[in-house]
Amino acid sequence: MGKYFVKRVLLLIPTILLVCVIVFILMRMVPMDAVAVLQNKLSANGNYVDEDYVRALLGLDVPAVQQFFTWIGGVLQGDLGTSFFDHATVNSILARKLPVTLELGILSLIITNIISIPLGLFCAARQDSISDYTIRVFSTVLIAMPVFWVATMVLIYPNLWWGWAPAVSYVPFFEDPLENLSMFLLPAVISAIGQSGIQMRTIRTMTLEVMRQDYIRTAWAKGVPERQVLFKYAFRNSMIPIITMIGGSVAMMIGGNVVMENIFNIPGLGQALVSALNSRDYPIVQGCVLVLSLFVMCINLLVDLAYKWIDPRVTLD
Amino acid sequence: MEQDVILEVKDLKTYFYNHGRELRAVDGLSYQVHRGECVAIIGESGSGKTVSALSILRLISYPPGLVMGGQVLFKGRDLLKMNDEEYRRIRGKEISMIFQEPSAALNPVATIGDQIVENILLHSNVKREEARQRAVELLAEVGIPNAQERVKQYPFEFSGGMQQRAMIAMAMSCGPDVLIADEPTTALDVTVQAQVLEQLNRLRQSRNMALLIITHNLGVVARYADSVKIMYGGKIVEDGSVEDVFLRPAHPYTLGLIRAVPRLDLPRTHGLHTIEGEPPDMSKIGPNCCAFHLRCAYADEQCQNCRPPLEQVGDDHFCACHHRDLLDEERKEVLME
Repeated sequence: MGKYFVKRVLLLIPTILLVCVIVFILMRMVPMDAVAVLQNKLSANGNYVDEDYVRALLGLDVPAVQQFFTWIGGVLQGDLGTSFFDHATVNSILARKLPVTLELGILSLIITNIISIPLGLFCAARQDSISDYTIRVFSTVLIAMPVFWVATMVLIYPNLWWGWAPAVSYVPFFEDPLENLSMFLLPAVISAIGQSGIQMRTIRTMTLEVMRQDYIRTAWAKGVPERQVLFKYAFRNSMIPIITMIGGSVAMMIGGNVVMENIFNIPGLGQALVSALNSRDYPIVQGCVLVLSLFVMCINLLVDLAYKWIDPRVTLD
Repeated sequence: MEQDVILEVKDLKTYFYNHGRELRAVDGLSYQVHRGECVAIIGESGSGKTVSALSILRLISYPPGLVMGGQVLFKGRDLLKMNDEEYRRIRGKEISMIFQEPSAALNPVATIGDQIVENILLHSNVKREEARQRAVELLAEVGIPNAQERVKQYPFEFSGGMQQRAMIAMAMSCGPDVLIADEPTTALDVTVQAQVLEQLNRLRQSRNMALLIITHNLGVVARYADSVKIMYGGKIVEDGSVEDVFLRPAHPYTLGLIRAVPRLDLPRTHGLHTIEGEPPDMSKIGPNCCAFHLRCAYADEQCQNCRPPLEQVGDDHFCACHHRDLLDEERKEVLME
């Protein structure tokens, strides 16, 4: 177990390095590089600046390989670089934005599971009943509705009908926890809706698969009450695929909530990443992608470790 | 003897519905099990023997299966009419069951000990520690060495024979009055089969528990059973004591089964005897014929049009065949061998 853990952590290093190389190269291959963007900006204000001057200003006048190693050197010392344009360090940006994104992600993850696990189990237990059909039809509808559309509708109609609008100004958690949660709740619920539809269906299928197994019959024969058969036997045994799926959706929620952040004006990492991409702020993009991918890798590692905890037959080596 | 009847199945009917077709897996099954008795139900695959056992425990799930009629009287009360909660208290306590594939029948993610402890805690008010101690004793009793350690292991760490012993320990944990064993040794090594059966039989005798063994292994029956029920096509075709059924078989199917047992004492040139044809497709055979008529050497028009009733042919010996009188020749031949 310990050995396996060390091995997996060591394996993270080459993976991270590969991510660094890819994001570094790709950013520099995008048409309209940072130099051109900055030049355009300045000339729009009527100032003409020499391209070489801008290049030197941004530190892009040295060979790319050298830039790469300078960056990596900084990363190894915990310094992810400085933004091209507003002199904020990437570290400080991450420190501000990452908690926001994490809070939204974790909140919608919790909501997703609160909705999908009981419903999935219920549908499996009452397979082909009217409630099963109703919930499944409903979940299909939820899956089919794009989150950005739902979010927009939620912003427009209640306002139109009752003059109610959700709070769209960010309040840090430690300043006012209640206010903070109430502002996160709506975007978290909306982004959880589609995901929980998918997850509920998977849980239902997996649990039904397990319900056909002989040990479920043994459980009934022992006189185990239905609720325990469902949770202790069926759910526990269908956990492996479910955990895999939850791991996947965590990754998606952390990295992919740009839309929600934009619509609800949440100052998260996704928003920062998109604006940095548009302005070709290489250090911010590189830093954000690096941290996000590190996060996803850690979650994958946790998922793999969870297998061992769920299923004693799994050997990790 | 009558008041000693602990389990009585009366005219049990379990049908399956598949794509609109009705399959009568168990069709009018009746038998009695007495306290402490070992009853064997014999039949080939598809004869409805497992379905009948699952029906007793109400483990037939709908769809596709449905218990359509009949009674299962346990200590005089109809199990099929009890509500779920009432019946839940009987399952695993007064009636328990062990299954054919122990490796599949044990929960793979719980330790053997936890699974036994769960059964004890479900049906009695003992402390967890006490139940744990009881689990260790039970495992030792069914012949698992080093039970103190093995109780903490998971099913995958047990061999097939050990898994089945653990299943038995679990089924025995609340001291049931009836233990149903559905082909308990079919999935096991031949060398282990005898040990497991011996174990079951010892437990039965020491606890005066009725044992209902479902099997297609005649050797098992001859050795342990008090009473034998031969099932074919969802019905009992012959019912009697071991001596009656093996020494005075009255039904052509029973005779065929006995002839089909491989014999080591005959020359190899003798060849193996088989019953021609396949087990019947129960969805195609009508209710008004002998289910065996397609494979029976004695079948005639009467067998196609009239279902033979189970008739008494001796003390506690019953047979359902129109032509059992014609069997004498073949019976002599078989018993001579």
